[in-house]
Amino acid sequence: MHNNLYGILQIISIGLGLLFMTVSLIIKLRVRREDELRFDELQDDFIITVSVIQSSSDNMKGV
Amino acid sequence: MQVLAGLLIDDRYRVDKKLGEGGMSSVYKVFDTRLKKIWAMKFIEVNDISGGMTEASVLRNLEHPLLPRVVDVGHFETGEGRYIYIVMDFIEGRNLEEVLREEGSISEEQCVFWIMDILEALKYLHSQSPPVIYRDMKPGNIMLTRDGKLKIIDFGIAREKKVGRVSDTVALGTRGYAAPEQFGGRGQSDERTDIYCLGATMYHLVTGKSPCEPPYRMYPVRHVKPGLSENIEKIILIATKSDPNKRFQSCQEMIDAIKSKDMAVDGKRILRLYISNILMLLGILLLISTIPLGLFSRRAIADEYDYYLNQSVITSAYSDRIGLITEAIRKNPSKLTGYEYLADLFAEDKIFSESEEMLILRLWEDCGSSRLTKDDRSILSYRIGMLYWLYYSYGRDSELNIKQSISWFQEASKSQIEEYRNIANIYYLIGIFHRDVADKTDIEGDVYLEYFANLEKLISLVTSDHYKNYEEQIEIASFVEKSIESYYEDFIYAGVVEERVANLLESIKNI
Repeated sequence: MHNNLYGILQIISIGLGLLFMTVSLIIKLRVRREDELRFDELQDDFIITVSVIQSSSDNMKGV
Repeated sequence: MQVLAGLLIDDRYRVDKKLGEGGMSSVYKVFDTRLKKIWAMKFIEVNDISGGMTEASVLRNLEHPLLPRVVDVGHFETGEGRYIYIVMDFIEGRNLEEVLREEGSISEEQCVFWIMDILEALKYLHSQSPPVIYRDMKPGNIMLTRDGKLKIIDFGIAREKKVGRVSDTVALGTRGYAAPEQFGGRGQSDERTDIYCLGATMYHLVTGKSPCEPPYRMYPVRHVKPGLSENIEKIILIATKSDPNKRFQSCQEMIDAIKSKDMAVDGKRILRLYISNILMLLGILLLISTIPLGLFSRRAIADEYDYYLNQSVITSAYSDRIGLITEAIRKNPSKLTGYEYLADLFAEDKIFSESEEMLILRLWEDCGSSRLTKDDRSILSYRIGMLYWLYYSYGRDSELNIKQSISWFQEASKSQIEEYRNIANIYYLIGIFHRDVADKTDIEGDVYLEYFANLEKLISLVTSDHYKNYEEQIEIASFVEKSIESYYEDFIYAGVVEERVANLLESIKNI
């Protein structure tokens, strides 16, 4: 009787554990994907290429 | 710039060690011999004294908790050059660049807290008439005092905004933090220049990545550090736009943006990540929980197994005993004890019936042959072989018994356990003799010699101290006695001396 109960609980635990971990990974991947999409949109506008600025900064006087 | 340490300036300031150095200036720790106080003194090497008083004139009129207090300004000449000096508060602590180097990136909350203070200071500077543009905001120019307060230092390139000027005449700033317009030809630096520098500073603070080091790029901060909020990412992105018109237009606008609901932390994203983490944690906990559950399960199986076997001992009805032992075996088919209980029960009445044979063969096929370890399997094979040899169709055909047992002893003779391997091998060889040789007439003498030798070994093994089963000893002794009786002449003819036969019979009588 107890043996059956523990066996059933074990199967439920493994099933739920794997389910939760899978859902968690899916959520993480979706958030990451959304971040990448947003990054692509923002990239052109926001990436400041300092090396480009550098080319015009030879006469720059630092402090 | 020449070494100034050790000089006494204006018969008042004794120059001590150097605190820092820039392109056009150096900062020294000095001792005020008149007030007996330590100050920081900035020396700016200039060609023209009046033209080099920018920083001094900027700082002299300012008063803000985040700005250093200027207590004296002057100039002097040495043989090697002309210098302007500015005497300021000596600020003990570390600059934020040192903090970053020693402790890594700053938490978002701490960064926002500091930036709000700095924005207030910049707002104060920009509110001057004309506005003062700091132009050199970077972690290295922000001091963190020992009591946790910030001070903005180094006004070496600060300038007053010139009304009507279209661009800066000289490119000044720190590469990486400087706004595009500071490089000349892209418009005059204004309040929005400080916004850009502050954005680049925020980038460095929260990511730990300096914009003036490779790869010389500022990515959206969450690409570098995913744990940051969307709010701070947007603030930095807007503050560091190349086009000043797309940046925050004033410090107040940036302050409002940091505080506003529109720029609030991306709650949905954080909630999803939070749920994801919780689910991952739960999943791991559930998987870990299967370990104790498995142990409980095994313990429960062991308890039930023992219970059924114990009940089989105290129960009197034969069919009930069979049922209990079978149930125990089905609970844990990988344990040998249940099978041994069954073999013992079958041997009790000295009859290994056909129904018993069917039952044990079914259990063997269902689980015994696959679930038992190799050693346990050979022990069970030996037990089944003995059931056939001694009790199968008892009293009807002993030759059939022996032949039925051969395959089981053959299996048992593969045992790793020497005790079982030896005796099973002897039973197997004796069985082979009875199957292949016994009925034939033209047998070579060596075969009988070998058979007799096996009978001797068998008696020797069953009479040894560790052979406990007395009933089996009796049955085997009877078998050997009958064999001697049947093949006595063949043994003598094959060369077995009578003395050996007599000795074997004597051993049998002693059992």
